[in-house]
Amino acid sequence: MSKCKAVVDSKKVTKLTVKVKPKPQPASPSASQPKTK
Amino acid sequence: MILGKLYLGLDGFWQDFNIAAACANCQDPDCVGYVWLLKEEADSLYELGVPIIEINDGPCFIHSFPQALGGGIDFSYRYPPCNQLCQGTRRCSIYENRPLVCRLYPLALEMQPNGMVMWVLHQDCEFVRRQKRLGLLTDFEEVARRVLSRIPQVVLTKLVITYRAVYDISLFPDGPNQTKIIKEAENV
Repeated sequence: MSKCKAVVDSKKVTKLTVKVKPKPQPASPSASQPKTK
Repeated sequence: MILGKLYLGLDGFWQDFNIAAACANCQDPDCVGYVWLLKEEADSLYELGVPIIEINDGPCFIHSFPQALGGGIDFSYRYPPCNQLCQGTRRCSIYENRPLVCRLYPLALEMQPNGMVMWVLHQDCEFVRRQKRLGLLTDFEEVARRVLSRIPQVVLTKLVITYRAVYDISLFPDGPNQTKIIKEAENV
């Protein structure tokens, strides 16, 4: 198991970008059901 | 495509040495969160839903860093567990898609005092300790040199450039890694 002893030097961080892919929204039941009159 | 072939080649290399048997006996904690990525690895892992952190528009990591109290990221927390932890199975949740730095371990790149980047072998790995106990470490190192020599130059160049960017923002507060030089990673 990887055990690299490095850590990020926070003093050198000038810009930080966190990328998290949005989870797909579940379709609402009303949208998925066929409409009836 | 090149990266995919390299992934398969490395997996086969480790299987030939049955590293899984050593991993199964490893008593060390699971992987810690300093998993740096090539740009294309960051892109593909992002698409798989793995959180990515990019620093200074440069190196990307699997985002395992804890949140600071006032918001932002707490980089003072040392060695956070990888957020794709294997939870006892020794196979992480992204095992089939894990990045090169994970597939290479206990082989790794390391900056030398003269500024050269070298391929090294981590000595504090159960597999390496086993090879040493069995008197097989020299043979393993020879095979490892051949395997590393076959890494396509285009990938090696990307690896070294990315590693240098990672090293530039890194600290080693507990001292350097316990490693042994295997071969040069750059043409001198």
